[in-house]
Amino acid sequence: MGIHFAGTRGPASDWRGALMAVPPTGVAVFSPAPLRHGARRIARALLEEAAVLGGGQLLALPGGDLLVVATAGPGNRAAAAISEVAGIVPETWTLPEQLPVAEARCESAAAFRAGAAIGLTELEALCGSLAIEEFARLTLFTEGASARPLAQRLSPASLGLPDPDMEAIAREALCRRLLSALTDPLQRTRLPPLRPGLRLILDLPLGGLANGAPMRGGVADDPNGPIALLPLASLTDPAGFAAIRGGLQAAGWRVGLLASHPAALSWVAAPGLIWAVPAAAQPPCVDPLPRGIPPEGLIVIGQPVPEWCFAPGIWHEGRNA
Amino acid sequence: MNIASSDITWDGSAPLRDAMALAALARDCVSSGVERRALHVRLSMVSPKLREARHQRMVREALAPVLRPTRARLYELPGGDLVALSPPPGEHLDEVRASVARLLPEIPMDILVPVLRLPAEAARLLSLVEVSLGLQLVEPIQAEDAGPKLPAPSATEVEAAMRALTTANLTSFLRHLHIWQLGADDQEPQRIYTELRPHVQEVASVLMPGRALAASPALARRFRQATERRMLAELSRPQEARALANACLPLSLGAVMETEFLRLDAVLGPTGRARLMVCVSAGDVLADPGGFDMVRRLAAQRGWRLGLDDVEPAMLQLLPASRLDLAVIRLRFRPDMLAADARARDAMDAALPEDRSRVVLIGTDAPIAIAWAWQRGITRFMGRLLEARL
Repeated sequence: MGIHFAGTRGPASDWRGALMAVPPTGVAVFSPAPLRHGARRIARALLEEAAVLGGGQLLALPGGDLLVVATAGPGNRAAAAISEVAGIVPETWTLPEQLPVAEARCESAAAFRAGAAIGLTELEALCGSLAIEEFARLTLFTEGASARPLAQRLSPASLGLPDPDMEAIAREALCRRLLSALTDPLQRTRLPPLRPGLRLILDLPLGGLANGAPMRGGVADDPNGPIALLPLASLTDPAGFAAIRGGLQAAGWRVGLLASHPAALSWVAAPGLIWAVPAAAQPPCVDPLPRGIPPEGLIVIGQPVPEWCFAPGIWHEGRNA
Repeated sequence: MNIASSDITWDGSAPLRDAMALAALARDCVSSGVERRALHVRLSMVSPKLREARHQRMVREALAPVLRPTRARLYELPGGDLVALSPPPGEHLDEVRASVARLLPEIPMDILVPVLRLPAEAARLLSLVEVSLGLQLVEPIQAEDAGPKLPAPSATEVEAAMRALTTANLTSFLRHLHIWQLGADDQEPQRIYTELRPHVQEVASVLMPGRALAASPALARRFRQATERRMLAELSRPQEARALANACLPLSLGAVMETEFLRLDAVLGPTGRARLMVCVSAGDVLADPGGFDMVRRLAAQRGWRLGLDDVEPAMLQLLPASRLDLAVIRLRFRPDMLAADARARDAMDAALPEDRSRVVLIGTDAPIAIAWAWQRGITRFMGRLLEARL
């Protein structure tokens, strides 16, 4: 049996008709739009299959949410697969019993798509034209349950792009601008003022403190030296990374890896490095480390800060940063 | 020459076959504890000035009387080395050694390695086999003539090329290579997967002549992904998808989350998906761990195999199988793996998945790579050595 792809029906109000046309004992599955385009495409593929197998149809709502009506078996299976794979929790309603709930949810769905895709040329232009004040961020970090800041991170703001590849390209460009602003007395005043007495965490591009005189962080191999955060992707060239790491350590920096997802913490064996990962609801579990904290230190980035991050040895953005 | 290997022409080279059989036999001696004695005559070490055809002939003649009545076997290795293998006690091998030395007084004694005892000295024999293979077959690496340095394309140019791709026919830019199964006891290598990938460099040079795409890694990644999407769109046409048996698709991570791949996934159905292997590079995993985490769960949910592509030895230490357990590891063979000391070898072995059928050794361009792989139970290969048979 060949599989035919269910077409996506047009205008927004079509969902009313679709909800009314559900086969007996059918379900409606509403999959809210995730930020990542990849996750949305996976959800869509799984729902398309449910529509084909479950004799229903798939609708893309204007805000990026997806709605499928189908028989219960394929509908529920697709909903389970989406939450397993893409980390989106779809809402499922039995029809016609829960028709009013379903209608209310579709009614309140966003009418516009957030996080539109951006082309390379546009992105290049955007990264070149943003003013330093617009993208330079200073974030304070505390450890454990203490409210007293002990470190400050100077980093470019995330652009919140739906494609991680594009976000990485932007981060590279903005990190380089940040570095050149730090070393240029005229531009330096436009950066957020650094707090004296707090350790510095500085985001670096893939190549580290490339070209020219290394910026001294302090005495070589000082355990309390400032921390240079290199993107995890810089490990792609292990020999190059070792050279950059050696250079930074000799110039008094401690070296950390910045991962865009905490899962990397359990996959990558990188002894002797600090890790910085985005806040996740669950602590990363890394054998044999207790509670998944790398011995060199773990910096949890972002708000809100989950409860497990208030344990000793974890730096986080504080309860009300 | 033993009969078994002379009538099998594994890519037309009996010495190659012999070398592999010998390496396998040495390994078997270790695992089963069977005793053997080996005499290795390193004729490849005779300096070219002194080398004469009569050397090999005379060694063979010296060996003939001892080989005939016993169960000894003679192996001829690439490069001209001869190895006679005999069950213990094997005093006759010592006699042969002495008589060869008498017959050929002009060749230095270290060419006649003292008789080796297996399994105790199996590692020594293996390394001698490897050296003989390497002398003959590791090809000199030609320095590429870079020519005039081309400028990197601009983002605008790459975007225009990506638009042109959406209507291009990539058929002539697709490369078909194979993953082969070749165990130590196999007579012939078996093709088990067909690897399909677009030749991105060629596509780029057609669509962006006079530009060096590689000079801009970020743009190169975007372009590669667009090329793969185009290939996937062609592969997911029902008649193409039906013909896709045991395919290995090396893809960028982004392409796996694109509509074209997801369509192929749907069109293949459960049976087709079970025969599909998708490999992404370690660099992509490090650049987007969140995406890889999602794709991993997708693979488990949909039933295709997911693996790491082109893993360099140093990368294997960063992403060991004990931490990142995947269905496939495509390990890149590097000649310096042969020179690794015991500690580095142990580290390598520990980082590989215990189930060695998950490992594919890529870059298998010389028999020595196969010998190396067999020592650690790896029996799946890709490379010129195996493709050259076709």
